[in-house]
Amino acid sequence: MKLLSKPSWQLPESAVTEEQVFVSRRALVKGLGLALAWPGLSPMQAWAAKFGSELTPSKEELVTSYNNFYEFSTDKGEVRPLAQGVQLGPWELEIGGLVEKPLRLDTQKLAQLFGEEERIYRFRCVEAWAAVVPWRGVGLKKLVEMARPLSGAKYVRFVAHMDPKVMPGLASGHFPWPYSEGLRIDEATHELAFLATGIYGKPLPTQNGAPVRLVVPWKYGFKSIKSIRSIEFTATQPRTLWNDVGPAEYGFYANVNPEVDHPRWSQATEKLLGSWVQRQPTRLFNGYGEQVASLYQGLDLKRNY
Amino acid sequence: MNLGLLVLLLLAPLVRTVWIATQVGLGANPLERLIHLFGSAALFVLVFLLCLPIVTRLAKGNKFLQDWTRRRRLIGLSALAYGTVHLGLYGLDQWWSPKFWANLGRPFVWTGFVSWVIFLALGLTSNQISRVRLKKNWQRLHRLVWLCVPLLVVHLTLKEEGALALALWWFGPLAALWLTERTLKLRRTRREAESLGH
Repeated sequence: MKLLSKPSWQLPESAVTEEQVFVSRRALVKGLGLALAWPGLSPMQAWAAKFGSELTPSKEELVTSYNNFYEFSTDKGEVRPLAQGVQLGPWELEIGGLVEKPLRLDTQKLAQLFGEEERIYRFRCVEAWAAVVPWRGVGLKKLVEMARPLSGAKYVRFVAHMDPKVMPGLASGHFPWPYSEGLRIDEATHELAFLATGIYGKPLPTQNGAPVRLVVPWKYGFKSIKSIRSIEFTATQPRTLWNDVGPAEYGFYANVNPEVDHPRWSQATEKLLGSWVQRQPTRLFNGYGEQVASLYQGLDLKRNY
Repeated sequence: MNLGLLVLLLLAPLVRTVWIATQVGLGANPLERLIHLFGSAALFVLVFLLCLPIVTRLAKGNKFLQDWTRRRRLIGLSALAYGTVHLGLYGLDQWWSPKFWANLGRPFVWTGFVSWVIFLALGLTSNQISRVRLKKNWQRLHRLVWLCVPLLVVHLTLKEEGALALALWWFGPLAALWLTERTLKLRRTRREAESLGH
């Protein structure tokens, strides 16, 4: 049985799986004049009210064909062909470190354990491209609560799967594999932090990080580590792959910020996938400032990029 | 026949790009893909241009290669053409960005841009009139083409997050040829010195 918990801002999966209906909803409302009487739309409006904008998911083909997954290839268009026929997971997610209760959780049972949700988030890559993705998965907070971190646990470290037999990119000696990422514990327990097991109403394809990946929508995409094997609670800030490779380019925080440029390009604007030249302004915290800005009060965002 | 083959070779990257754009598809970020395709095209022709005289010297007296070496102007202008499209598409991509001009200050960008400026200068002075007018300075000016190599190695390495692999892929063959020629020369001078000693 599928459990669905419903926070006020959440869209039920029934409202997003039909993309065509979703895309044309405004026309529907306009034409019928039923904005308030249309029961299927009200969660969408609740979402829009909370997040200050309406989100139209990017085309599935775009999101599943253009992927940064360096374990396969550094070429975003090459990842899907290389991942074709490669199945990652299911496996047991290891949760340990400074916790009362180390856990091993079957990635297939996360939905059952924590209640599956569908969330439509803006996704912003550090490379100045963006998308809107309907994810399916579980709130990270629930998993953290189950593990019961000790008071000394201040950070959470995530480590990705590493299998050179099926991931040719691992042969590159330039990167300190395995891919690893980290969050402060207050970031990890924020309601927006999410563990995705699916997109567009389907299980995650390999190239998008099967069987389970992190989604931290207010941070650049590289923080949202794919194909997670283990989650460890630590007292000190964990090292992360990108911060090790390019400390001047990829900070630990990596909060989306139009004011803080990447050394190689400006972050002031972003391009939605599928668009040729059209750009839109980048939003601080990727538009989730209302929800997450309080996490960073007093923190110099330029210095702590 | 020689010229025909050369033109085919110089057009190959364009044909590949057109084929990808029309048959395979440019993907989710089409302009970025085109920028990369034209950047690769420019590199392909540039590396060919720089390798050609060395290969010709190594293959002593090969008429075919000698003929191509004499047509370096065409090769250089082709590299300039691909590079200009690469830069032009990048400019188009960034045009609506409020940081358009600030981009020129980024090492990733200016290393590529300066390489293009060098090539533009060489292209503009590649005609016979400039050659006659500039006299000895023409040689000096055209040696600047070698400055593009370190600039583009930096450009490619920055693109690859500090990894040298892509720069090696493009400029490795050139380095190998250069080293081969050096080694052979060194051996020859040694042998000559030895035979003189006897």
